[in-house]
Amino acid sequence: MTQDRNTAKIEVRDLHKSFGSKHVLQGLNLSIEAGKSLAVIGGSGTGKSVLIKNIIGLMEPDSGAILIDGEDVVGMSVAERERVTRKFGMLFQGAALFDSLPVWENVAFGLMQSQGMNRREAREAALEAMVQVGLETDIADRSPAELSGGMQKRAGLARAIATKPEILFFDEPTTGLDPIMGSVIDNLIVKSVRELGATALSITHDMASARRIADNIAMIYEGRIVWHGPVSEIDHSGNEMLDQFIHGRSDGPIQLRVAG
Amino acid sequence: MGILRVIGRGTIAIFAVIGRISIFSANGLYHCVTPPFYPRLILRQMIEIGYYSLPVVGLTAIFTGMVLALQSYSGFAFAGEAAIANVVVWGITRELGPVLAGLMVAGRIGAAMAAEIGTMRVTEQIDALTTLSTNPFKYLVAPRLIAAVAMLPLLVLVADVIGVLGGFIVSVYDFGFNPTTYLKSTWTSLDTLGFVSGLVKAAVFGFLVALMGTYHGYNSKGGAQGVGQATTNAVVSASILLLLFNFIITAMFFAV
Repeated sequence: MTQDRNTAKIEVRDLHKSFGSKHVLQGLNLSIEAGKSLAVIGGSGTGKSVLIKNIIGLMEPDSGAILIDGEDVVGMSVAERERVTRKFGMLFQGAALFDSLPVWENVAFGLMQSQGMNRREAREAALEAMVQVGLETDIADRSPAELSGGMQKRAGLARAIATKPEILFFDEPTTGLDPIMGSVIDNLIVKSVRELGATALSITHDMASARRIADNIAMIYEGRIVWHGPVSEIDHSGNEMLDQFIHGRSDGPIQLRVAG
Repeated sequence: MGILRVIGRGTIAIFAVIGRISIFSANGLYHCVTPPFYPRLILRQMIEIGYYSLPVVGLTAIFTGMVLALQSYSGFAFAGEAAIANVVVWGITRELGPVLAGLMVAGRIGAAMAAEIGTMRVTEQIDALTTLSTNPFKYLVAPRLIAAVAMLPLLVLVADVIGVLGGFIVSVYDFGFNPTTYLKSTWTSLDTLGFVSGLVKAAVFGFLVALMGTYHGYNSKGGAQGVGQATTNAVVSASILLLLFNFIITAMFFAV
């Protein structure tokens, strides 16, 4: 397979995914250059989560291609897929920390499981990652349930970056946080992505957050990307859907179908 | 036409569920025998299933053994002491030990597995495992299956001893039987086939309980309510399957 447009780290081609009669992704195209941070914005139910789950491999698309470093991962065997997954780190919306494990083991999880690091070394590395995201190391032995929402997000971020992944995914990184903590998490994300030199894909509906963490913005609507461009251009894009979204207007080309 | 449609839809649904569970258990078994293994997790489950179920299983066994002695005394007193010891030993080792221990463990462990894994599912912890290059079947399902299959026979062994002891206590202190004679009759009544069949049942029941707990937990959706539903389904389906397999295994061992 040729690595055309050779700087694309992630490339999604004509992706389709349906659930029953619901056609969620309808031929979605997207590409992210290596080392760039892209935020996919869009309303609830437009297919943001489905897109990210397809790329990570938590869902199989109905058709289309997903290229990671030029390699199509759709239809790969489990073992091959695992090899690609090692390049990934992900921060989940609710942090998704393992509540059966103390904080440090959560952060060290990838190091111990996929890189085979022993517990002592992994603990050292985990403490280091915790410091990087501004967590006190004395909470290392606590259970995740004892942490506040902001601290859980930080721990989730520490877990995502501990394995030094090439690609980082952020699912609604600021949802459920107060605006100040949201901004703190955003800054940590920017710093972590920069330090790792990683490529980042975030999905969010928080415009303030998208502006902070992204180099480029892609707007998703009805399972397709309707606008894609640098973050500096979103205020004068001339795209009515994007305008409506970033200004949060209820009237415009995007009609919310309120269930009734 | 309407009734046929209902029957057809119901039949298809049943076969779909059987198919899904079969695929799930084949997948689970495959990951039980292929590396990497998680000895730490297996050990933790063994302690949870084996050690912490001891009080419940022990209490169930002792009362059952006592009741068995009381009932058989009122029914077979004419047949003498040996008959009582015989009924208690056969009843406990062949049927009541494994079945009651299995049902207690289904309630305790099956429910806990479904609730824990179900919560992990709805809070995206299972997705997180995948993104950390860890196969959820290996990490969550396989250790529970292995631990349950290993621990249930041991629990039933304990239940057998305590159940027989319960019968002994009632016979000796209530009916005034000679303890030595009673123990001797107990020993001669104990048959290898019956005893072994009880332990085989225990291993199968352990598998069923862990399978239903992990299956329903793994496939739960829709937040707290979904997890509650998964927990209920795990206990109910494990109990019914357990009784079904009890019949099948008994038939295989003893039907001539």
